[in-house]
Amino acid sequence: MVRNNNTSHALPDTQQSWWQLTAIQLTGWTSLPILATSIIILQDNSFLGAVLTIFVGNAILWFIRFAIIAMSYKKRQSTLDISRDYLGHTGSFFIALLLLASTFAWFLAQTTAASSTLTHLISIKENPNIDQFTQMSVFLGIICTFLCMEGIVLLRRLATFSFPILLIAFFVAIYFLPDKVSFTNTNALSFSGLGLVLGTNLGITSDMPTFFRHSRSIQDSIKALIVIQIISLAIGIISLYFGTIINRSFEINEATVLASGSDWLRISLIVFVFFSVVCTNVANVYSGSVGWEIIAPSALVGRKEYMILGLGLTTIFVLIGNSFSISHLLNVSDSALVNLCIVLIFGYFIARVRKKLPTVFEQASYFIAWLLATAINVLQEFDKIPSAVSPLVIGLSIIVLTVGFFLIVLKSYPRIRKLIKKLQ
Amino acid sequence: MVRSSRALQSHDQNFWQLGSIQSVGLGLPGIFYIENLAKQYGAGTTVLSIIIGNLILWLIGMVVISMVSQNRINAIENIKSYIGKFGGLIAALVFMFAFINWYGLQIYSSISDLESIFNISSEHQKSILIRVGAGLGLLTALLATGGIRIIKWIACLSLPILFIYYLSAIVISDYSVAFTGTWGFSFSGILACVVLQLPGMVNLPTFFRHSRSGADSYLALTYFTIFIIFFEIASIWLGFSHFMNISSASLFTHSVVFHLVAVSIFVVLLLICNNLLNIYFASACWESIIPRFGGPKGFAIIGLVGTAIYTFIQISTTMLFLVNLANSYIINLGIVLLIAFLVRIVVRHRPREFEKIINGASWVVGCVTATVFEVQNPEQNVAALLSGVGASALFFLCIIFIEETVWAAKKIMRSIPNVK
Repeated sequence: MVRNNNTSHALPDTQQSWWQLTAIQLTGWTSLPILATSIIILQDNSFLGAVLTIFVGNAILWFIRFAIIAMSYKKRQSTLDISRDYLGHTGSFFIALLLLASTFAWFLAQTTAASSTLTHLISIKENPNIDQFTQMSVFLGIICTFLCMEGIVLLRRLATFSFPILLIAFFVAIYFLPDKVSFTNTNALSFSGLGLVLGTNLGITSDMPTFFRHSRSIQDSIKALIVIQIISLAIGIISLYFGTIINRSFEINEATVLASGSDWLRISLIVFVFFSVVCTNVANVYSGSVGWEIIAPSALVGRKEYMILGLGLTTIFVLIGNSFSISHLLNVSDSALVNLCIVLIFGYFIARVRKKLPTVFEQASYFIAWLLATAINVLQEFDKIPSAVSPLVIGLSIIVLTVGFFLIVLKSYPRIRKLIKKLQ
Repeated sequence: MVRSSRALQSHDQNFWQLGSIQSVGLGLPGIFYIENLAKQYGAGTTVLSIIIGNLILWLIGMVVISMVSQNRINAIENIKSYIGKFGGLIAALVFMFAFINWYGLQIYSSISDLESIFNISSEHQKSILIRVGAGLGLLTALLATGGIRIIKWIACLSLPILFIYYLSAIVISDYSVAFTGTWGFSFSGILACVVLQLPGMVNLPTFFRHSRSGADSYLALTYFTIFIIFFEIASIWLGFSHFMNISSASLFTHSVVFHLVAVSIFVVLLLICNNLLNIYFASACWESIIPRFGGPKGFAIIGLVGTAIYTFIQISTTMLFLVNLANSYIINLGIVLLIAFLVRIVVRHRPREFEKIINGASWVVGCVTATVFEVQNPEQNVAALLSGVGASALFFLCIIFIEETVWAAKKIMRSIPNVK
């Protein structure tokens, strides 16, 4: 156990190997939305174009992720810790809220989708009056709550156990797919596809420090990162063949699966969806727990915070899940996480050049950049402003412009420079 | 005596707090039970049965508190000291099974009641209610992670609210109950009232180990007995079935809406309070089986399992049969403990090497008898219970008779000089 400089309690489980780090990340990702991204790219590109898009996207991601890990490994910092360094205390409070909101949204979305899929794929002969969707939802919620209780220790064991099962189920499903996708488009590398790959993965990237702080060494972290990128690249390319059974709303087309008559396909998808949703939810709860530590009263923080979060999320899900769409919350929180990742990368490179951590003024400028970019993305999401341009591009532009404005333009004025020095 | 495996978090509860926790223990199934008794025996006889039955329970409670007055141990540890480690483990399993099923039963009763109150008939609305039930079960599990402190605060806050509701329900209720010509004495009615709360009495040590002092324990016992008597008598007037007429009215006046909101809050609050008690009762059993998962984690796991039972099994005939059987076993155990305690007080003149084996054996005899009767007549729960209790008591009596006779004879033989 290592005492983390920035948390009130000792950090457990700090000897994770590259394989364990890889398993935790990949079991948390290999969920339907990630797979569906590949299919969406394929709809606008040729097969080779989609492969190239995924390849380039993942290559860019590797660099970004390497930077994120490099900025946090020395002090074993979580996402919230580095947010505090780069966005200040006020900014970190907002990020804590964001992490919790994201955890909430993804927990609901994942469990709802998985419950719906499993209800259709698993046929249990019961009284027709019994609501099987409710039963499945409660079952998944209870399983996730049980497995959340021990935090990173149980998550590591769960991921290490589940990852090979997920891979096997994935390949069995591929093998028994009813029809192969026909590739008719001729477009090569597309920026919109690239934007989709980055947009889907950057949100997860900003969360990586929370998990990689448990790494045994920086070498294990780098090795894990390389393996993660290679495997996710392979999964991304192979997922192109899933087009016949995954629709645009990131759900499995159960009718197609059941019509295929293949029990192997059905069973492999059941196993895949079940392990995927459980691992993703447990990882999500752990990710959200760092935000909980800031927001919650001290009596509710500590070892039981994972149990409280898991149980709380399950309770909320059972009561209100599937009652209304949370797609807006999902998209907004994703955009906010992507913006956070961009801001942190910028901040890190600027800090590297200046050879010191951000000053209070710089923290304020990063926070305002993040807030502004997120606000514009929110307006885009609710169609208050035209959304022809990708939220990722908009966010990136606003962050670059805002940071540039604060750091370069304002610093040119002597009076303001004096004021900044006074504040520091 | 063995101290509880987990260090106690608090032992500073006064009589008010101890009593409040136990006072909120009459759940909806208990209210329906009393309503049925009133229909079966008449209101007057039921009132008398409630008073006499609860006085008997008060006496039993006194004995149970006296058993553990020297040490702050939970109910399972108390049981282990009388029937041995293995017997205690079996008892823990039976208790856990019963409490977790009662957890599901409480949710089921509450949701069924809400269904009646709001006149829910469509499948979509029913599925929403099932989700509400599961959600309430999980919420209770979440609250239980706060431990005895949270339970204490919720009970202390809820008791006045419940009391006001019961009082107002009696005052403003248009549900009339006929008392004329119903007064009388009924042994089976008294027994039915004793049986309702006896499992809770056997488990009193689990809560009363947090008592500030012995005086607080005894005063709390009196205080919550009074409240339980009041709540049980008031249950005769609650008449939940008449709410169906209110909710099906075409005109939703302010008073109708107020009634619906008030009764919903009452049902939900009662459910949460009861199930918090069930979780804490079951936690003592859980800790004796798997000490590693004690504390907040154990409370959460019990709540999760109880919610799962409600969601997946609902309340089938088989489940009800098993729950009735578990009730019989627990009540049998309570009687065995009482007799064993009395025997310990009376028989001080000789050692009892086989005390735990005898106590355990008499419990087993009672359980087997109750099982046979229950299987043969599933509807005759009270008869099965009485048979089991009778068999245990008879077995005990025979063993004590034999023990005393053998001991006395041996002692006399030893004292006589060698006889040619």
